[in-house]
Amino acid sequence: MAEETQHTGAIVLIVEDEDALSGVLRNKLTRHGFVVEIAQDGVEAVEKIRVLKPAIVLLDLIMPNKNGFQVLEEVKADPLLASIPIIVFSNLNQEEDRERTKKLGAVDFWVKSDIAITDVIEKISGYIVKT
Amino acid sequence: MKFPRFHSLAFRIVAVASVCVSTVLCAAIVVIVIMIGDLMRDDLGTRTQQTLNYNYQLVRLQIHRARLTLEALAEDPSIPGIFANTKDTVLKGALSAKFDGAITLVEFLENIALQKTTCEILVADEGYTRQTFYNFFSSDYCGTIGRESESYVSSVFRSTTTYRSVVMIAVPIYGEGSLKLGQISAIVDVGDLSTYLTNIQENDSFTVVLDRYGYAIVDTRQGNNEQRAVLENDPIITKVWKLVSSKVYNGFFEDNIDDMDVVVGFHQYTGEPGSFTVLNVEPKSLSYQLQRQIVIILSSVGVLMLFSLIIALWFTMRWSTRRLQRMTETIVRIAKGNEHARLPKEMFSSQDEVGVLGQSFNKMIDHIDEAHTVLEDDRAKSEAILLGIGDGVMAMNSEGKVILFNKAAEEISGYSARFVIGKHYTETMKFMLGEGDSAFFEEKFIQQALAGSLAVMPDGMSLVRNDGIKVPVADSSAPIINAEGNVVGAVIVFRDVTHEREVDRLKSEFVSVASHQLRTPLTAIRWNLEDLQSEETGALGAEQKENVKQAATSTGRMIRLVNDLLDVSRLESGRLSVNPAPTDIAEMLTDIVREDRDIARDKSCVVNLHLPEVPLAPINIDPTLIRQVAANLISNSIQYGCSAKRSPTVDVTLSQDGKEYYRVTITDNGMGIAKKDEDRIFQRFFRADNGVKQQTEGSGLGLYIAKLIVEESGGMISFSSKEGEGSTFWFLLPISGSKERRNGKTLTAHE
Repeated sequence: MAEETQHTGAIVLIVEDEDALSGVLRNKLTRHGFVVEIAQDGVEAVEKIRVLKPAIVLLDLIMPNKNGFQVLEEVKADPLLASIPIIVFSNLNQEEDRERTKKLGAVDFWVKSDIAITDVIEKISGYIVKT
Repeated sequence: MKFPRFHSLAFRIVAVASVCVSTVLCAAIVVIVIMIGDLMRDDLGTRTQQTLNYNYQLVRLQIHRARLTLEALAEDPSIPGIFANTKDTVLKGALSAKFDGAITLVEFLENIALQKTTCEILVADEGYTRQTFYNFFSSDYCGTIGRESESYVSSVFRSTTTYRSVVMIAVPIYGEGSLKLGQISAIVDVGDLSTYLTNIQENDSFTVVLDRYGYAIVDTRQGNNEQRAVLENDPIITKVWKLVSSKVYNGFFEDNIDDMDVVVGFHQYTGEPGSFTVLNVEPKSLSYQLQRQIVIILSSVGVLMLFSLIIALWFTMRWSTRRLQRMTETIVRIAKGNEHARLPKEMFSSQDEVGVLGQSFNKMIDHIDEAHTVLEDDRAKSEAILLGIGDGVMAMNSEGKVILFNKAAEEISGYSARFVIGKHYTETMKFMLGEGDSAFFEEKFIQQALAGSLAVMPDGMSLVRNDGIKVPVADSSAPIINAEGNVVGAVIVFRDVTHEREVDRLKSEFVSVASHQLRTPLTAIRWNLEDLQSEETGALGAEQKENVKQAATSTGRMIRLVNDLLDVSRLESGRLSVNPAPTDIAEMLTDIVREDRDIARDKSCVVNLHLPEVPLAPINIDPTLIRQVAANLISNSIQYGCSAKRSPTVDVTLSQDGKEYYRVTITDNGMGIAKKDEDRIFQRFFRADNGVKQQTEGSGLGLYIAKLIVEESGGMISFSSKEGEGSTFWFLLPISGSKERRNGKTLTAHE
């Protein structure tokens, strides 16, 4: 697989408190050559973004400690981290949520249940190529 | 309160009539008085005349008696003896005694004498005075008159010796062979007449009797036996005598004696014993005394009559006006709300117009009161029902002033009915839409009702209580329309929906949370199955592949079902956001048809898109929502309609429907929908039997959601079908566009 080699070493941070979701994603992404890190809550997410400076962040909105909106706000407020593309990855599906995250600087908004896992890989690859 | 008291037409008529009647009566009384006055004047003359006539007859009677007495004496058998022997003194003495007896018997006889034809006296009474006798008889009777054979009575004349008024009577005496021997003569004194006349005289009045020569033979101003002068110098007597001389034999005139107004009446009598004139003079005051008295009495009677008439009239009028006034007062009292006010029976018991009017008035008010009581009972019942209703009810008149405010309304708003009623509803009832800073007053639904149409409160309405707290309310408003079909007000029904809103919110939250919670494991299942299908973790056997495929399909359906449920929840709660934007429907349909190309090909289905030759202008609709509807209908037609044995076809047509709508029609030539299912096709969870048999896809919510969306967008949706021949679904979209709704929820995205 040509794509796998291309993305070797690119760090993808998955912010997801649900293991059943983060697990299958991590396995799939790892198989495609990404370095996958997982944060279980918002606080951990901000820390890991700061330390790891991932190539891309998949950010859930509803999490313990600090929700996705707060994480997004905090990260985008930090000039060192602001350029990291963050994709909101949620099962919330309201126009206002989409608009709000867009305003906060999210590059995309994916509804988990409505997206096929193969599409996730494709789209992430696309963003990493862009950056 | 002012009301007309004495200015009614009837009153004026009565007043004018009264004045007329009074005037006529006064005039009549004046005329009567004048006529009576005249009559009295004549009567006065009659009175004098009668008095005088009586005296005249009295005189005549006495003279006649005197004559008869003399004639009786003339029959005395001793008389011829005296003529035979003039010296028979015995005989003479006896005859003289007879003469005296006659004088005593007959009042006026003064002297009686038996004379020879030469007037020589043979016998006379004891008190005989020769002078008068001699003068008269020797000069007159014995000269010429004595030749008469009948008894003779002279005119009244004044004795030249005694100056008394006298009448001479002579009765001839015949001897053998009708030889006249002489006569018995007598002198009668009529001067005594004045005794009688004086008796009837009153103060300052007097009566004068003139003989045929104008000499006064009686003058009551002078003593009975006094000397009587010729009264030629008396101006009144002169005047009367002049009138009598000019043949005016009776009459009246007014004159003046010594500054005293007098009335003079006179009458000349003719016949035996010759003519004489009586004149009566009395002061005017006396003359008219009776007349004046009668005038005074009549005037008094007249004035009294007039006065009593006026008083009677006044009382009648006052009685009438008092009653009318009472009636007016009663009407005013009734008008002010005292429906028990009545006219007092005793005041209106009479059968005159006002009395009857009053009785009728009372009857009418009784009837009105009765009807009013019945109405009042009905009204009280209706009001009790209205007031007792558990929902807040506020009614207002066409000006927006509150006329009814029930208990529930009081409880919800915190305002008392007493405070609210009579005020404009905007002063107290503040209905608001929205939350926080974007909240605004909303009363379109009230204005709509006042304009004559039913209206429902928009969702999310709240009412600001009197303490400033907002209470969520819901319900509707309706116009109040009277019998003539005019809008006379509006009634607003509202209820506290705090609990309902909370339940609604919880339900919505539950669905939202539940679907979110469901989605996470479903996503995990989906991704794992997809991972398996990608065979990155190892190749699958043919049977395994089929198993995983079935599991993936079911998972996909489950995810759609969850999404549909969420959509239905949002649509039903009316909290769906509608964000209209100019949309090209043709472009949208082209897109959908292209997307469905693959599925259609799988079904060997031909999808034809028919667009109008002249492109339709974009309209303001929510593109996401309408796209979902169109996609759902087209997808349904492909799924269920493309079952025709030969050339299955789906026709998608865009056209304009009248001036107000665009029409999207989707026709298939599939199996159609059974007649019995037609009514239920847009109901939720409905799936046609044939659909179930054929497919396991679909939640049964697609058409229901489509209907909700189209209606929410201001359009309508329907279908027609013939079993075995196919179905046609169509929906209309308003060219004027959909109404925007913000702050609601959006639907789940459909891939």
